[in-house]
Order: sequence, then C-alpha cells, then structure tokens
Amino acid sequence: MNYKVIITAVSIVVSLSCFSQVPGYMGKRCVILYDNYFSPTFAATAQNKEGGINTTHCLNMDYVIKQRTNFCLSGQYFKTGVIGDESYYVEVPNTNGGGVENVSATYMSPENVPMQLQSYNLGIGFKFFGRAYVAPVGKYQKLELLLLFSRLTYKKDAFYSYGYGKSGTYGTGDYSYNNFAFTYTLGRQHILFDKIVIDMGTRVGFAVGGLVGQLDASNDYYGSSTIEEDFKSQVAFRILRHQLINFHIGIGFLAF
Amino acid sequence: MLKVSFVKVLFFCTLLMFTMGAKAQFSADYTPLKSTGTLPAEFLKTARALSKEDLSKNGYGKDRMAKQQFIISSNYVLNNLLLSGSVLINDPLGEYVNKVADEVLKNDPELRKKFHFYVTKSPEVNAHAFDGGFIFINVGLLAQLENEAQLAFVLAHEITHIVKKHSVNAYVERTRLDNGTSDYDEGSYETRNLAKYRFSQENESEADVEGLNMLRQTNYSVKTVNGAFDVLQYSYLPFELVDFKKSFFEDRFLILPDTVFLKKTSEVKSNDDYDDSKSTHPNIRKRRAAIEAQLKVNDEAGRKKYLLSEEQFKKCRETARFEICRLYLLDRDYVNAIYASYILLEKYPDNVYLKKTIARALYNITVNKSTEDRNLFNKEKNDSELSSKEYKIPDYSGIEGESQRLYYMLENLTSKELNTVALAYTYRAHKAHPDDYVLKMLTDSLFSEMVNANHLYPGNFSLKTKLELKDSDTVKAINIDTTAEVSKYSKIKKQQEKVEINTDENFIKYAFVSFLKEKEFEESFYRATHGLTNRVEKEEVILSVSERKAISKAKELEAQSKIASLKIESIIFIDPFYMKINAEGRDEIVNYFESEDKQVALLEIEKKCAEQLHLNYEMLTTRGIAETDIEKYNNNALLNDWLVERFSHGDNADELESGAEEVKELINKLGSKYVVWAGVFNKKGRVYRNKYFFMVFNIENGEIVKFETRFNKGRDNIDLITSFVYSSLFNLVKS
Repeated sequence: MNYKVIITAVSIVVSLSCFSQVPGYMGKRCVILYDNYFSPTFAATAQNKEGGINTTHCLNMDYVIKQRTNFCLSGQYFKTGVIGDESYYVEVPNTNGGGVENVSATYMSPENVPMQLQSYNLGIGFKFFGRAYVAPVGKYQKLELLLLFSRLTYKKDAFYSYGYGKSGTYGTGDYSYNNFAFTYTLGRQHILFDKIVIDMGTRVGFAVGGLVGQLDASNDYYGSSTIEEDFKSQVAFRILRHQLINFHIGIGFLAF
Repeated sequence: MLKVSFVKVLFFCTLLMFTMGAKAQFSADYTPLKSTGTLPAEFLKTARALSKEDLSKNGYGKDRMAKQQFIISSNYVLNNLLLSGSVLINDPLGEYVNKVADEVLKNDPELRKKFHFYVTKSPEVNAHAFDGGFIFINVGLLAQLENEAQLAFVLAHEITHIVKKHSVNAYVERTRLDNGTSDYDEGSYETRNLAKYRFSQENESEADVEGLNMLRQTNYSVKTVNGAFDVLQYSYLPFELVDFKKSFFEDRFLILPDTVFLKKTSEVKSNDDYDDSKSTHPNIRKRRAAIEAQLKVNDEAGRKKYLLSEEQFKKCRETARFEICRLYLLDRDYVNAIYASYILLEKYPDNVYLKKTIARALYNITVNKSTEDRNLFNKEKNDSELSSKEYKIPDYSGIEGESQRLYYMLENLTSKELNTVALAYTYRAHKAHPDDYVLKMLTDSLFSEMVNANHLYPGNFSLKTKLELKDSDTVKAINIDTTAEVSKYSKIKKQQEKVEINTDENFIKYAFVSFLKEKEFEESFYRATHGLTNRVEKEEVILSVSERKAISKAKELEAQSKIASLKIESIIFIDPFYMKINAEGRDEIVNYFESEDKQVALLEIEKKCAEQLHLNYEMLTTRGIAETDIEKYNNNALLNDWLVERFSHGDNADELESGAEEVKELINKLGSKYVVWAGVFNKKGRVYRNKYFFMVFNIENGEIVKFETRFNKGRDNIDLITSFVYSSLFNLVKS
C-alpha cells in the first residue's frame, strides 16, 4: 500500500515538474471555462417545442501540459424533448373478444410538453493548438471522449390511441441510459485583459450507441420491440443527432 | 610696414596654432562622435504628431489623398531616422554645418528658423532633405568636400528641395503617372515609368539652379560649385588618392612578395555622361551644363571659399574622415576602412584609433578567408535570414585609383599569409600601445585563428633570418658535401629550404623571426596552441559530407542545450519592430500610425512579461524618450550600430563587431549582456498573416543566443503577441 502511495506521489511530482516547463499564458496554465453549446434540432424537438435550438451547458477545466497542448476535463448538462409525435405499439385490452391487442399509441402530455431527456456528461480530452500558437491562446483542435449519463422522464399515463382514447399507463416514466461519444472541435481562444478567456468554435460528435439503436429500430419490421426498447433506441438516436454538430461560445478565466 | 609684418606674423602664428591644435587633437587617438546636450523637440515627437503638424499645413487641396499618404509615410521614416541613433545631436560636425547654414540663410532669418540641419553617420557621399524642414548631411559627404563654399552649395541645393516642395510634388506626380491621370506624360506604361525619373531629374536641376542663386546672395565663392560636382562625380573613390606602399605591412623580417602587389593601377575614369534615364538625378555633365551660364557670370569679387574659417572646415573634414573609418567597418567595407586609415596614418602615425581600425578590418577579412570549411556547413542550412553572409573582398579589377593595390594584395594573399600579415601588424600595434584592450584582444584572436583555422604553429615559423640560413652550415652542407650519406627525404627538405631562402616562396615562415624571441609573443602563441597537439592530425583529415553533417548536428545540439541552460537573469530590451500592412487592394499600404501604436504596445507587453517572470530588464528604447535622455539616446545608437553590423555578419559569429570598448562599458552600466529584439510583421490580405520574431544577442561575444520565428494566420491581437513574448522569455529563464 505504501509502495503505491509513493509511486503515485512521485508520478504527481514528476508530472507537475514537467508541466512547470511550459509557459502557459503569462505563467498561468489552468483555465476554468463556461461554454454554451447550441445546435439546431434537426427534425427533432427542443425542450418544449418542435424545431429550434438545443443548448448544452458546459463547465470546462483546461490545463496546459505542453507548449501547444491542453488536457481538458468537462462536465456538461443538457435537457431536451424527445420523440413528440412518435407512435408506440402498445397492448390494450381487446374489448370485443377479451385478451389484448397491439395498437398504435401516441404520447400526448397534458401540457403539450414532449418527453424530457436530461443528460449529464463527463468529457475528457485534449486541445491541440496550432503550430504557431502557445496554449491557451489561438486556434485549436480538440478531441474529446464524452461519457453520457442520460435520463428519460415522461408521464406514463399520457399515451393516447386512435379509437381507444387514453390507453393506460406504460413503462416506469423514468429511464436511465449510458452512452458515449467522440467529439472533434475546431475552435479559437482569446484572452482579454490577461484574465478573461473567450472561447468559440464548432464541434462535431458521434455517439456510437445512437447508430446501433437506430439500426436495431429499423430492423424491427414487425413492431415486435417493447416500448422500453423503443425508448432506448429513440433516446440514443436523439443523442446522436444532438451531438452531431454544435456551435459554442464560452467565457472563463485564467485560474492559476 | 612694421605693423603689417606684425599682423602677418600674428596671423601665421594663429594658423600654426590651429593646425597644430588640430594635429594634436588627432595625433594620439580619436573618440567617435556622440550626441550631447539635450534632445531637440522633434526627437520627442511621435510620427503621428509630426504628421499631424504637416497635414494641417499641407495635407489638403488637389491630390489630397496622395499628399496625405506622402506626409504620413515620410514622417514615419523621419521619426525612425531621428530615433535610430544615426543622427548626431549637438556634435562638432552638426554645429559646423549649422553655422554654414546660418551664412547661407543670413538674409532670410525667418526661413532659417524653419530648418533643422543634422549630420548623419553614414559613409555615403550624400545629403537628403525632408519636407518638414529637416536636412541631413552624411559624414561621407563632409569627408570629401574641398571647402566651405561647396558645403554651402549642398545646403542651398537641399534647402531649395524643401522650399519648392520637390519631394511631395514628385510623390504626387508619381501617383498620377501610376494612375494615368498625369498631364506630365500620358504615354504608355513604359514611358510613364521613365517620366517619373525625368520629373525627379527636373527637380534636381531646379535645385541646382536655385541653390546657385541662393549661394549668389551670400559671399561664398560661386565658382567652387564646379568642385562640388567633382566631389559627386568621384564620390565612389576614397577621400584622397594616396599611393599604397606595401612596406606599410612589412618590417625587417616580413617581406611581402612582389607578386601580391600590382605594378600599375587602373586610372580613374572620368565618365560624367553616363546613362541617367533610370536615375533620380541627371548625370553630372547635364548638371554642370544646366548651371554653366550662371557660372560664367563673373561676380567673384569679394567672394570667398571660407566665410567661417578654413581651419574650422578642415577640422570638421578631418573629424569626418576619422569617423568614416569606423563607419566603413560598420558597413563591412573593410578594404576602404584600411585604406582610409592608411591615408590618415601618414599624417598621424601614432594614432591608436586608426591602427585599431586597420587591425579590426584585417581580422575580419582573415576570419572570412579562413572559414571556407565552416561556410561549407552553413550552405546546407541557408534557409534562415541569418544564414552565412560570406564576406568577399571586392574584385580589384573594378576598382580605380591607388587603392586598387590594396584590394589586389588582400585578394591574392592566402588565408595563412593574410593571417600572418594581420598578426604581425596587430602585434606591432599592440606593442606600441600595450594598454589598449582591443589591440590585445585582436592579437589573441589572431593567434587563435592562426592555430585553429589556419593550422600554423610556432614550428611553422623560422627563428633564423634568410640571411642567417644562407650562411648556415646545414644549407652549405648540401652544396659541398655531396658524398655524405643523406636520406632522400632530408635532401628534398633541404632543397625546399634553399628555394625558400633564395625566393619569396613561403615568405611567412620568416615573418616572426624577431617576435618569436619575445617572451609575450612566444607565450601567446604557445597559449593558443596549448592542448591542440592531438587535434591537429584530426583536423587535417578531409571530412566526408556525412561527417561534416554529423559535426554540424552535434554543434546544433550543443547550442540547443546551451539555450536550455541559459537561466538568464537580466536582459536589455531595445525598440521592437512592428509593421502593419494592408494588402487588400492593388498596392501594399503600410499603416504607419497603427504600426507606431503597436510598437508601443509591444514594448508594454515585453515589460509585462519580464515582470511576470521576475526577470530584471532595462528598457533601452527611444519611444517616449525625454529631453534629458541623451545618454539613453547614445546607448541606443551604440546598440543599433552593433546590431546593424552583427546582422551584416550573418551567422559568422567569429567576425568582430566595432565598438567593443563602448559595448563593454554598456554591459557594465546596464548589468546585462543579453539584448532582446522582437518584432511583428502583420499583413492584411484576404486573411491576416503574422510573422513574429524574437532574437537574443550576447553583445559581449556577438553570439545569437536565440532566434525564434512564428508564422500564423489571424489578427495580431494583444493576447496572441503576449503569449508569444512570454513563451520566448520563459524559454530564456527556465532552468
């Protein structure tokens, strides 16, 4: 145990002494940034309506580890609407012959609010500044791995089926999904008054689970999937679309 | 009668005293010219402020845009010239020029008030005027003039340029010709281009005629004007034509062979009717012709060549001639530096300054001659702006007059021979002035060059004279005792020795016969060779290209590791460079005002970054200089001279910069030997492009400690430049 502690301590000291050999900006290497990502909804819904812009709040901590490289950690949060007018195959009691029959139902919340998808993401990545720049100023490319911890909430009794009216309650009304995405950002950072950091850029991302889920859904010719499976693939696809392209602008400061 | 005789005697005594005084002033040493007193108001103004004044007076009316552009650009150039340190303030030459200007404008005191006359440290035979009333006379011109009246004519000529607004008119006309809107010439592009020169030549002719008229209103001799044109015509020649004797470099033992000495030199040609179609000035024949009629008017009665005094003029000219020796060195014109010093040494044989100038020039020619191997390495990395700028002695065949002998001699001496001649000369000078630091340093450097570059060791030099060897038994033995058993190789060597004794061949072998008997010389030589006994064999091996590359790489790595461990604690910042250019349109336009503002901003960034890094710094800048900062102005001038010279040497760090004593003093005063020069070149085209550079010089030894460049697209925002500067400084101080 002691041995591990010593190794860890030595590693930290070595890493810090390595980092101290890079200039940063006026000797400051750590940047705390708030970024707001916004993306067009691409035929999906925003939080409360169809179409529009989705936003993601992001808190970043960048640390300059090499002359032109930042190590980045970020926490993100976004909330958006899902599905809206999608039809689900649900089982309703057969009023003629007993038993159940599969019918198509639509989610219609009383407030006309779509199902809500919230996602808490953790990002880990690197910013690589252009050849002539010194981190954290100038043009950069960022590669990031996003771990997405998503949650879908809905009113479980808000499903309506044509000819059947309100068709009962379905699911638990609260599902959680884990996913991951790779993102690539082209951006630029400026520093004002030697303190304030301005960040802007464009990010493209690819959430792997979204594509897999969508492939599964498109293979489901006979509507054999359960409503949970439908939710899962639709959430994953929603996330895929959400991450596809994002523009961001942020403000922060040089911490130390 | 007695009274007249007494006056005559008194006059001659005074003249003698003046002459002796001047001679005494230069007989032992010479101190290069420096600015003194307080800085005039125009030196304290920014280019923006100078331009604003001019714009309010002249920046309106027809061709307003062109006029404004001209005013802004010329004031930017003027401001940079004033602050470059090239301009002398309150110096003896400037004072003299101002007195002559007072005489020229005696009848128009109001006009006189509008003019500022300065002397500029340039060896070029020229003078120039700025429309704001600034006239600059080069030291090179003062060194060549024959009398005061000629100087008065030059001043009158330049005054006319300003009064007639020739510069701005020429600029406006050039713009019109470029745009095809000129009435002056509406022909093809080609003819319009030639018309620009024609227009300028007409201005020059007008300045000659009006200048002569102005001179006529004074009591200066008008006929001397022809002599002024002679000065211009032969401005490419040294200030005197003196026979160069090879005995200058010789002594009892060092006898230069006749083969390195030209028997006959080229005559000075007198072509005054050269093609001037693409020259801003008409040729000399045309200029003479233009004023010929006026010169024929005989109104010389009461006119004089000297209104102040001949002595003052001669003292001024002599000072200029001394100064020019140093300026030639700065210009890397080593042969002219030697020749000019040679001329003056005939008059002042004990002047240490002149001897030092010759020793410096010889040293620099020597290191350039003996570094061919190193230059081979450098050709492989010729991509940098500081890549090797090899010095070559100008081809003697293109030289006219007596100095051709010197060019021929220096060109034809081999590297070893030149090193020997240079060492012999410098050592003799050092012996005559043992306390002189520069001569001692040069002597040691030449010993080092001899051993390390030319592989000459004490064993290569004879301790006996040729005469002694002739009489010696060893040589006679070959002639007489032919039956004795002597090896073939021994015979060959002795035969070679015999040839050397009877001819000029290997003359350097006998150069140090007397010196080698001197303890100091012997010790210095052995000190230079100390520890190199094994290295000799290694160095004599001819290296392959790959071996050369490997050595070059090793040297680079060594240099890099040196930078990494510099840990510089204190630096000197000089005025940074900043230029912003707009290249969106057809032409590239310099944003002068913005460039000036950004230069100040860059200075602030440098300060800020140095403070953040706890780096001690000294700002040796002229931006925002105060009236009393004359010392700062001089120090800045010294560093500028040093930098200009250092740049001309390229990556040849062996070449020695002038002003070593002054630089040493400066290092002690400012507490650092590291000078930082940074700059940004920002161009706005379809995109913004930046070129940033950061250089650190060790002014003690001429080494370029760091040279960093960065190119990127984007605006030159303050944060970007700050990050560059901080990073550059950070790398200097980090452990």
